[in-house]
Amino acid sequence: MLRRLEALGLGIRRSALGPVFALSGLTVRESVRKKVFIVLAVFTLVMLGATAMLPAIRAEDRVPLVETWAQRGITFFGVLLVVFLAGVSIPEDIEERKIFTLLSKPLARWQLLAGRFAGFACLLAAFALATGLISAVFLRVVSRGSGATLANTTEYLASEVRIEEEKSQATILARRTPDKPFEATISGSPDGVAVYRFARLPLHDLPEQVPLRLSFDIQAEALLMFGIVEIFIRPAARDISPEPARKLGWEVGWSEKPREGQPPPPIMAKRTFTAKVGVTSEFLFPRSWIDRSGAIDFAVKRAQPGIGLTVRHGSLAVVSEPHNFEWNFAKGLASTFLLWTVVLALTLMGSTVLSAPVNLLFGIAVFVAGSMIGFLRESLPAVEHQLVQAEQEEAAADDGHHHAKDPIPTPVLRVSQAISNAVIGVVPDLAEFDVSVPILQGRDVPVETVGRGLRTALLYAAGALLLGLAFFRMREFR
Amino acid sequence: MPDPVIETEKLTKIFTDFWGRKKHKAVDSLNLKIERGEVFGFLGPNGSGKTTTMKMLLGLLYPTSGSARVLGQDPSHIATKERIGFLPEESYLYRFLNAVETLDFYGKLFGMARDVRRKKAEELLDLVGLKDAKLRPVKEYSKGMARRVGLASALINDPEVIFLDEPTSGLDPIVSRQVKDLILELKKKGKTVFMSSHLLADIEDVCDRVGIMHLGVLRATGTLREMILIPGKTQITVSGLTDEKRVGVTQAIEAAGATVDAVSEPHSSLEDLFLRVIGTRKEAN
Repeated sequence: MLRRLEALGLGIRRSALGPVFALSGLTVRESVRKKVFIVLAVFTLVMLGATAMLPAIRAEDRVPLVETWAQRGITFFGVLLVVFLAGVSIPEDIEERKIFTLLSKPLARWQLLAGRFAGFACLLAAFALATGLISAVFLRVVSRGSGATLANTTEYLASEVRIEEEKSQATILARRTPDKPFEATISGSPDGVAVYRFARLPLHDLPEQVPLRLSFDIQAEALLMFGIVEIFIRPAARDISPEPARKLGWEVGWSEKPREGQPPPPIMAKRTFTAKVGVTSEFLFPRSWIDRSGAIDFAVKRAQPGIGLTVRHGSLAVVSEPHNFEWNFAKGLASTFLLWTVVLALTLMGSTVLSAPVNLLFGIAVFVAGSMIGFLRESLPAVEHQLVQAEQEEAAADDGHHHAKDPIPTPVLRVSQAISNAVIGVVPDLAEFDVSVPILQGRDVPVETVGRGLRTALLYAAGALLLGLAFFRMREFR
Repeated sequence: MPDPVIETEKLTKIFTDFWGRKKHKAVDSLNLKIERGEVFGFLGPNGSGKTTTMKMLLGLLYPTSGSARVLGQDPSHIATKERIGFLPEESYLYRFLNAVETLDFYGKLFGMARDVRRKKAEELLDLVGLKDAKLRPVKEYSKGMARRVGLASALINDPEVIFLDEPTSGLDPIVSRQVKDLILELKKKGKTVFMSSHLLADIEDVCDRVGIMHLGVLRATGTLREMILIPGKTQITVSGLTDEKRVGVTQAIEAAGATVDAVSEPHSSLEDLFLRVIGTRKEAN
């Protein structure tokens, strides 16, 4: 009690977060005064300006270039900030022995780690905000100068895709994977129809003439990469006017002949077009054909029996009205910020046990490995396949059969597989935070994508910081 | 009897290499008790285990065996550190901060209110003689100035126990004297001071009790008076003694059955002379 009163006399008001805020404030001040932060921020903006000023670049190419730079350049420089500032902060405290003074004060080790993390997170948020704001203004100015538009749209995908077989002779190969919720190849007899069912399209977000985006893969003989395909609109409502669709170039008809005194039969519209591999086609259809609940069906079938048509969930999309570019850009920056926090937490974890130069390399390795996880994941089945083949060949060789030329030894393949699995299991997939592709293609970044990124970032940051704390608690300072 | 402020029992620290193999016994079965209000001097040559002991008492190193308690708690107890001050062997400061910012930062770690931090910083910087340089970045400070900032930051929380590792190292005789006076001032206020040094004069000037470490082992401990007293000897300092009178005094002592071992003229220490000269110069200016 007496001590408490003495403490009050000294103006001491203890709270667990007080030292965390003190450390985060120190971190921000340190980074700003060390000038690395300022130099990187200025360099980022100078590079941004330079991309738009280069006289060799055509005016219409400047907007995508600045946009690419704004997204990817800011990400890269943020990672540099993390590695060069956060990566060395705690090792420097230890190597320069400032840790003696710090830990002799009422500062728990978790508070030191959390304070450093919070400080650098604030710094990165300020960096993202400043460079993002300037980039967005800059992009507006450049786009105005070059006449390019800065807008993005949402692509709504069908809530259900299925294959209808009008007759039984069609060969349909359908498969689903976690990455591809629906994929089917229709070949053989021309009777397979892919039906895309939309259940709840948001009418308020669609223009009067709604763009329909189509991209199909074609398998044709003699290396032809295109084929003729028919697309049908099958609205749920019956009492709708055919005129708006006709005006947009659709052939309108009824599934059966209308009879007087009878309710009208289902209306439908058809269009024939040449689908080319890797080319996206776009047609307009009337919003009035969508049911008030947001329901509408589209059907796709081949007009040529000789071709194979591969349809996927994302092969047909209904496109929204253009949306605000800045909001989309902000979502991109939010994802980038989450990527930085993951690298930051892992780098701080490393800094509790590694020296400054080693931790610097560790931070870079985390970023490089995290960016390559997708590639590793894709190559893993090939390694597994090679492993099976190698084992079979070894078994054949044991039986006295012919041995294949120069196979990769099984132990090497096994080690490669184990390393790949370990890296995939431990290192975060940083591609999850990369939303630059939709932004650059003018597509909306779904809020759910940012939400998913937030969940992953929180999990990784919490895990890395806890592990770092466990190392840090064991550490002694000689 | 109240509990000792600092207590160790068979405190041992063995440093190991990367593979966990035992390499060096820095402190060996140290038993120590320091009471409230004591100024304890921890003496020993370089590498004798003084700093290692201090780091174990501050929770920076973990004992291999044995135990240590500071203010009745384990050294890693965070709340206890609110009552502790520590000046390391060298002042390890954030070079980009100035003296006021440094003290303000450490004040924040103690959860001190802003106005209290400001007032305390002013007082301490005045005390250590850095009032005029308080806004200069620490990186521009001399070693002595940095040391004084370190001392001020060790006292920011008005600690009950103060650990001073080589407190006068790198200081000029004037500041060194000021630091020693400050230690005596802290003692008057009832603070406990645990001070390590290899400068015997420092220890002699301020400590009540000393412990002498060598190769990790506490070789001797006791009050300074007990330890440096020469038994059976008496020293008399006299003024106005001429050569003739001196012969008479010597004969009188021998007549009383005692022996005169040596007769010499006392002199002040070099430190006293230096302080007197500098003090006179300052007054003249």
